[in-house]
Amino acid sequence: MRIVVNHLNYIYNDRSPFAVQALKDVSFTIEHGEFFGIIGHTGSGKSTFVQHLNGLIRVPSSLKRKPIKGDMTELRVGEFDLTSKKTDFRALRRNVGMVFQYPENQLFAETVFEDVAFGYRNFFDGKPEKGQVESAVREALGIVGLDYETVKNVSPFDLSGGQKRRVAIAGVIVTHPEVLVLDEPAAGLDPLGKQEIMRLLHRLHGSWCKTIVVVSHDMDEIAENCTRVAVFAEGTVKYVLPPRELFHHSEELLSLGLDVPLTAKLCLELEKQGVHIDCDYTTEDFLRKVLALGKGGTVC
Amino acid sequence: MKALEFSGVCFSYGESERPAIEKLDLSVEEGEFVALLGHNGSGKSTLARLANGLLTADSGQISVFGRPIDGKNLFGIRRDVGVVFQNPDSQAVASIVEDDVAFGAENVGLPREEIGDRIGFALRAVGMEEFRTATIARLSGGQKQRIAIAGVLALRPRIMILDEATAMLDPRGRREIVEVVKKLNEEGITVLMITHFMEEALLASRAVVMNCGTVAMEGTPSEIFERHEELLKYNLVLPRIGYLCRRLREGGIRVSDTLDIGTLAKEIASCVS
Repeated sequence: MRIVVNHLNYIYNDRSPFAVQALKDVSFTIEHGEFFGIIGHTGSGKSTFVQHLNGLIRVPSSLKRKPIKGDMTELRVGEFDLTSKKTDFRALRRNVGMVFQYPENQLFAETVFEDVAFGYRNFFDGKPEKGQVESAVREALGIVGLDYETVKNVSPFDLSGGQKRRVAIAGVIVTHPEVLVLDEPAAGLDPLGKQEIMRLLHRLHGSWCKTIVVVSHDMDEIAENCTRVAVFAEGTVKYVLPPRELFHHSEELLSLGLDVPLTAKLCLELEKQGVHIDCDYTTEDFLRKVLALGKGGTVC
Repeated sequence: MKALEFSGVCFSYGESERPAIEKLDLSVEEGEFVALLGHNGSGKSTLARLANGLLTADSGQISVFGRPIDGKNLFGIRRDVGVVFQNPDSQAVASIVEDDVAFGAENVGLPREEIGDRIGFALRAVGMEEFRTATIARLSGGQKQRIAIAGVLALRPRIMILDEATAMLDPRGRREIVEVVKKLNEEGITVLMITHFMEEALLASRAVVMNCGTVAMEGTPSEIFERHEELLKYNLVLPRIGYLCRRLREGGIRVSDTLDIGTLAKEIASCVS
């Protein structure tokens, strides 16, 4: 599903003294099959934006009728026109899975099985058969790396932090959404838990969920994984670029107060020393390029 | 003088549970900045809660500035040992900044004028003076955490424990907290910082790795990160820069085990040109 955004604006507490414009004329496209990253400060509009993607925030009809700057707001996810009131939002949400920040806070059921099954039953047209539910839950727990037989009857609250998070993700992907949106999926986990979550996203990407949209503060993660990245700043989109081009703008990103990956910082420092490294900012490519330079010159 | 000393401490959450802390020996000198590392469930947070008497050890002894913690001196211990927790949204008790910072000081029964002074001192220390009458709900995560630190500072503690106080913040919020903590340490407060961010551990004068409720590794951050195989065993990873240094060395570029970006760049430059 291709996600098309044109001239999207959003104002919290519109027409009140507390009005804050969270999105200002946001336009870009996320292609089918991308592993798309969204970065920016807290308060830059990232979360407001991703909540639009499954209709949790609707495009106010007033904006549609009276568009800002005379341009029509457009927001499409595949076939779904999110500016239209007639859109089947239930079908949309089945196709666009949303994993919020700290999703483990939303676990609620008595057993892992029930928690994961809830999403499946909720989005099923009619009443699913017992066997259907069971195989869906088994499959979802399997892909997030939990053993069905061991965890199905365990209370989700008795699991470790990383396991809880994976149960919560299983509860979202159990409907096989085509697009999976995750708001800081690795925040607050220990280093190994972080790695596990990133590996999980790679397992899901392309097969289970065609498109992945991930909001992250971790630039190294972004550089290693994303096909393209949108940079949000104060409600606008500053760049939409693949990491290899985006981090050419490292100095601008740093001046926006954003972080850049370690590889980009090293490239900047090396540039000062007169060494130019042209890499795509993944750790492996950086190492390859530096080592190649070493072999060409005199290695000490 | 030892600010904090654990000797042979054991603790478990329930009879049937695996002990969260097992025969733990650890001491922190006055004025030290110690980073406490370890995977989830290794006992770091339990240690923080034992250190100011939120939990009571099953056996062994915990001393704060030479005074063993017992049921009778908890009040004094808690004035000496302040703890800042992870979640910026669950530590505020009031809705206005100055009320929140005053809470601890009021609680120990300080005179009114003194409390006023201490709020001023604490907010200055964390760089939040201009927010004295602001509504906490409208602050950013980093600002809320700085208010939490101020609330602890108002009691003029001698030891500050941060239990993953930066885990829920964005990079800017994290930098704010790290800077405040570094400054407080330079001013003489003993700091014990529990963190999952290996990069934060680099600021400490000593790093301690916990595993299964006891101390598994100990040394300066660079000493710890040289022992990467061992770190992996405890489910920890090298800071990315440490990993790069190792891979560069394996590839024949002789760089030291530096954890500083500028130094590493200079070393690479001198090797490849």
